[in-house]
Amino acid sequence: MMSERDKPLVGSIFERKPSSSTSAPSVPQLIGSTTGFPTAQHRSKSVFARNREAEQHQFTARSPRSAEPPIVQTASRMQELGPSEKRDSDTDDWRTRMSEENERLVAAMTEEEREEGRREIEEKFGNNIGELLRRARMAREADEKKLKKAATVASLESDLVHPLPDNTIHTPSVPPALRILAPGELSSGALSPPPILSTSSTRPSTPARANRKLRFADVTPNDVHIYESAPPSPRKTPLALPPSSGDDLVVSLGQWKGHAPISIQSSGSSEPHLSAAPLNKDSSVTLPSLTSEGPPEEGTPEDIRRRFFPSLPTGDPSLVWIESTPLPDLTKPSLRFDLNGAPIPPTLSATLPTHLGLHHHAEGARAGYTLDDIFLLVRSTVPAQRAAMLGILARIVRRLARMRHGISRDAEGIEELRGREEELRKRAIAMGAEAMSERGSLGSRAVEVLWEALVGWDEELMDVDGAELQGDPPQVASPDQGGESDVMGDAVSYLPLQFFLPQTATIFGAADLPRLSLVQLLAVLQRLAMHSNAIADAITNSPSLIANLLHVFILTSIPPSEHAPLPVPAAIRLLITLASASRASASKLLDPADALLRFLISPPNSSPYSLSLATTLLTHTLNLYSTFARYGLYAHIATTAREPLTRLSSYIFSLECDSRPLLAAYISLLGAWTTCASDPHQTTPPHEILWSQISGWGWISNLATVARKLKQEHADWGTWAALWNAEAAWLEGARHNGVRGGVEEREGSLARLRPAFAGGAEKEVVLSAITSLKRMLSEIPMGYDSDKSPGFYGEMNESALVLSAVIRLWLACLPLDKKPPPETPFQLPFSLLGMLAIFSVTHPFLSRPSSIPSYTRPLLRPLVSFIANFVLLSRRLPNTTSGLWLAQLSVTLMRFLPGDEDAARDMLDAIIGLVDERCLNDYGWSVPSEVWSRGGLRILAPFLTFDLTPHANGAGSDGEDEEAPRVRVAPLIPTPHSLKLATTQRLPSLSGFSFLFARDWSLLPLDHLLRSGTSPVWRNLPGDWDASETDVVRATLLLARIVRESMLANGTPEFAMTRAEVTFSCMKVFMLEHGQAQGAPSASGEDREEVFRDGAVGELMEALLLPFTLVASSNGLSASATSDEQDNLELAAARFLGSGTPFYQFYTDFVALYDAISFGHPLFSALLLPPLSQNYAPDYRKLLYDDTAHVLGTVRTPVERVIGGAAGGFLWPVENVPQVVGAQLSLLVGRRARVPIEGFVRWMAVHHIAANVWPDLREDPPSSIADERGRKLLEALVNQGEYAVVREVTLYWQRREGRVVLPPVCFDLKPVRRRNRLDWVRFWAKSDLVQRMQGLLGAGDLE
Amino acid sequence: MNAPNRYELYVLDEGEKPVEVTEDTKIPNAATIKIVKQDHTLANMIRDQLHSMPQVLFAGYKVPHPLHPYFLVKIQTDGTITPTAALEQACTKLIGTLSSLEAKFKREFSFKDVEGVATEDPYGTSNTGPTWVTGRDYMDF
Repeated sequence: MMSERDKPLVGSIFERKPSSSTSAPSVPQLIGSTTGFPTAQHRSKSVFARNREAEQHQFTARSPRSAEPPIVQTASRMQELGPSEKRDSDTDDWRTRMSEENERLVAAMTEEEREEGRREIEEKFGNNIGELLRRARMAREADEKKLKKAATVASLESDLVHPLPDNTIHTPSVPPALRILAPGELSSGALSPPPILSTSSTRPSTPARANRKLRFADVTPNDVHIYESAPPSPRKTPLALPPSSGDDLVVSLGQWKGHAPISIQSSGSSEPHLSAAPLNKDSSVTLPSLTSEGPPEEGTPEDIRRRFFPSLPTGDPSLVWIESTPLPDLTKPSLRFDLNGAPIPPTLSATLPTHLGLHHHAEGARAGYTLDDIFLLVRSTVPAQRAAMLGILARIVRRLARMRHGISRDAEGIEELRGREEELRKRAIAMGAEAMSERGSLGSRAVEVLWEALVGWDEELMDVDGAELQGDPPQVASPDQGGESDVMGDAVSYLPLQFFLPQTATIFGAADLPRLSLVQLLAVLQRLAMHSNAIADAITNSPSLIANLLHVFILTSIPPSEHAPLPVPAAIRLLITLASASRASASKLLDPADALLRFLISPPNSSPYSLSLATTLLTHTLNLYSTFARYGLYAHIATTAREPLTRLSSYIFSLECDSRPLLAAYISLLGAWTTCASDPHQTTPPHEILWSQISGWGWISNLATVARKLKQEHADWGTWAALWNAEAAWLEGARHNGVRGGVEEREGSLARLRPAFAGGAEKEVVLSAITSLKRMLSEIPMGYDSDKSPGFYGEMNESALVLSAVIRLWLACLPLDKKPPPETPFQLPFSLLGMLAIFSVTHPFLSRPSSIPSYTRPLLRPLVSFIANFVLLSRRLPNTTSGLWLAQLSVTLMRFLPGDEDAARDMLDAIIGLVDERCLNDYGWSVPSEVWSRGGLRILAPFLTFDLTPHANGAGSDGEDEEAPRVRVAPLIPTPHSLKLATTQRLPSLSGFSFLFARDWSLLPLDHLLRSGTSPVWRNLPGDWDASETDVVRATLLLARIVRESMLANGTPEFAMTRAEVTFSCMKVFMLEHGQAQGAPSASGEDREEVFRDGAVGELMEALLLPFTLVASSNGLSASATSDEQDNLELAAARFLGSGTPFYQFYTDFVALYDAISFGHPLFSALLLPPLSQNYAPDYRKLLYDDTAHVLGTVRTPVERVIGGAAGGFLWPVENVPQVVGAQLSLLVGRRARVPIEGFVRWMAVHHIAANVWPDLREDPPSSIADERGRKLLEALVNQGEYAVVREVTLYWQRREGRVVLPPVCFDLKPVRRRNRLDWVRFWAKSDLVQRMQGLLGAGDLE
Repeated sequence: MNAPNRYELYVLDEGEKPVEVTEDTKIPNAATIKIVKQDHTLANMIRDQLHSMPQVLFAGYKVPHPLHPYFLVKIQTDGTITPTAALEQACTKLIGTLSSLEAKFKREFSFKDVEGVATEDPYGTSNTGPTWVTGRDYMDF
């Protein structure tokens, strides 16, 4: 109930209806003027128009107006009166009408009724209501009077001003200028014109002016009251939470009340929140307040709506914005972390008070941060908050990394993040990179995040050298073996390098982060450099990065002061990684590397640093020099730093030095430099180190003393390998540079080595390396096993390295000639080595290099090197026949990896040299003499070795393989030849990483012949090469045959070419004619003969294909449907054709070529047939049976000459493509091929038609459709076919298992089945058909 | 660009022989015949006509280069007639077939004027003649 006291001092502001003309409480306006200024009058307005306007204005000016000031009411009062109640003054006439009516009503009432009504009103409104009403009425009447008076005054005034009765022109509205211009008009006026600047002209006196008066609210002292300082919303309870904990300092900012019904308690309701809200409001909030409960609570959406949008209904969609935002869905709690990055279990996060600690930042009712909170707050503008969040992030990433590695203790609680690790890692990297440039703790936290996400993520990889880490083959992540699954991803490449590297350079330049952060950043760089060669190059090329890095980590003060930091060996390691990434990087690093000489100057025992630090620094420096030396770079340091090096060597070789890594590093450096010196033209720049210098320094005589220091323990194996390699390099170099081919050097070494290998530690080392390698290989029978520890593979690596080195040394002790030596230089366990080599070459570990993670690929290299060296040794063994050696060479060739190009070329030369006329006579083969007369296999050398030799692509090359600088991986053991060529020392990580040679390497020249237009090999042929196409094909086929035979003969059939590969290669021989204009008479002077018609070529192809025919194959005549991987031509062709050209396209060309030029060549036609197998897509059969059916007349290949793995593959499953079946039918009835088809093709057609007709041959479960088709086929056949064909189809039978039934036996059916078939025909056929069938099928009864 | 002139596709050069026959030296009863200034239109017809002759063991043709207006027909016979004779016979039959086709076509076309609306399929149904050995309408391709 409203009383005077409740009236506030200042009422609410409310908007008036703008439509009401009298709403403005302002000065009543001059007629015709809206601005107070007289409006410009245009003469163009017609008199009538002006009249009309004036009339209108007058009407509005004289319309009754509210005389009372606008009544300002509080909002609540407004509501009580109802929104429809309007106090607009234009309701005056309404009021008069109402009062008249009331008066009439009152007049009609009796006295009692009036009395009752008065009492009622008094009851309702209080005693003095009568007084009140009277006052109100008086006031109203007074106002009305005033209004009336004013109106008369105004009209009087206007009459005075405008005495003209027509009232056309209102003077005040005429602009002064106009008046001057129109004096005639003025003269007509009775009054003198007002002065121009008089107020009346600009602010004319208006009729309403008289109404203006000051008004004040009717204020009583009670109306004034003062709020005490209060929360912003006075109706709200100031405290949200009772201070339960007694912690008075914590005050919540408010209590949320809006949608209380859908709080946590209602979590069980499945109703979606948004739809529930309006329902709620409609039913419980709005309605009661409208009726009896009074105004809604101030500040609630309903209150706002009523106050400001009273016209809109509740729940209007355009008012959604006044609702408070719904709470996050609390029914499914998301993962939350505390400030230590540990996950808070959902149960705990719901019960923890959210107002404790920093947790009050968490939204909702749960404690802790979700991942989204963290990623949001990491971008906070408050550095402290950002730093705290980065700290959490770093710990979460560490936890994730541990989870990946299968540490279950850390996986607790964050299980739901499995599978999202890489994504989170990427985001963390982005966050770290973003914040790393900040100063202070924020920067160091950011570096920590980067470190956790890049280095700590897979820390075990930090020791891997020699391969790029990126781009592993995607592996299926299995949850229980989280260790190695998708180790790399590509999160590292996610780092924005162009931003990161300059930032890093700046950070190193400023060096104001803590030392620990700087070292972490260094590790991050190291990890990046290991990721890919491209990143490593970017690091090297980043301006001032290396310089700043050296300044921080290497160029520390000497001698070290108390507080100054010490040099960091990891920085040198980074340089090594960068240098091994590419030759270009290495050359850029040569100048910075000069700074490392400071570690060379004094041996570790007299160094200013501690012994261990000095040793590590020295070891790393020497390793960096070795890395340079593998490119042939920086070898001059051996001369310039000779004096410190001599001092160093005497320390290293002395008993005082017991660091094996240092010893090994020094010896390998000596070996690398010896290799550099072997050919002074291979170093860059040339003549940097000379053989005479090396022999003068007497390194090798020093090495002899080292051997005495070493023991046979496993820890010394690396040193042994380095030692033997260095000595081998020395002996190899001496062959070229020494006197008389290095005889003296060899004898000097042998005098020492012989007794050593006869019974010294060396012998023991070799023997135990053999056993350990063998044992370890047997422990991984399925190839690479990720369960084995890195140490396991490290040991395997070392064993293989030792064996490889010792064989190399053995070989180096021999003179250059190829003959088996009269006596072995020193004793080795040859048979054991041989067995191990065979064991490892066939081991699955080596068979699929692309399937193992890229960081383990360097493990393959020592093994391959061992096998290759053994094959070279095998040649010198007396009991190795040339056939065996050929097989060994060919097998080894297929195991070579990128980087082994030099060795591969040597072996190819050996193979080509090995196969000559005499050798083949041993085999007892008759080889066409033309092969030898045209240079034997030598003409193949350019083709076979083409991919191995780096060749300068001239400007004229047509861009087929112009991938910028050709990547050439340095070999494991540098050779003089490799120094200049090597562009990187790390194995590439490309997904196509594979062996250098495939199984059909011996047929490689055919590829070049087929692509003679584009293959760059033709531009790089030696000058004296003049073989013809036919010569090359002959030699190639001969080589292929010999290689294959030798492999089969020596027990390595899995390395021999498969059926599909041979078949496809023979197709290539025929396809040489594709696109050739041969046969055109006198087209080119000489009659160029088709290559496949050459006698020798044909003979060799026959011989190659013979083992692959149905008859010769082991289960060639088996009737069961098989699909063999090695029979798939599409797979075999993919390597040559590339992914863009399907084999089908090749086959189409092949068939077209047959159609055009074959003359029915028997081998040609036999090669058409393999794709008819049911293992291929029906398109091949459609092509041959349907589209080019006319060629089948000339395909007379008998069944036994068909190339294929098993006949069953052609027979089963039965053809079910209608188009093919139809084509086969028309072939049989003679409508397609012009001559009757015969041989294998006829057998196929008869088989598939018969199997579609007869229910006993059909494969599908009996169905009416198949039955129907069979009937149709039989009818068509009988109606159109000749007797012989009908007979064959009718009496055809075939087995599904076991041995296949060949023609003509398969055309003779057993009587029982004949009867069944006849019964089937009788069941449905017309009489004439039955009769004919009876003639055929019934005949069996009689026989 | 450097495409040959259109007329070079069908106009014989000065002194150019339209047909050249080369006997194959290695394969019995085989010959390669080069026909100049013609393309697949003629070559395909001849090849299919040859296929319909029982004496011909092999008949194939190729157009070595799409810009060179000639094709090579390779014919091998069973020895009863020479490849040249087989080609002659095939060409004679082909001319006969084509002229009868032309006559038929003209006759049917004149019927069209008489009858007004041709109700039949103007290309005839399948198996119109030996030209389509496969027995199919060319629309099938």
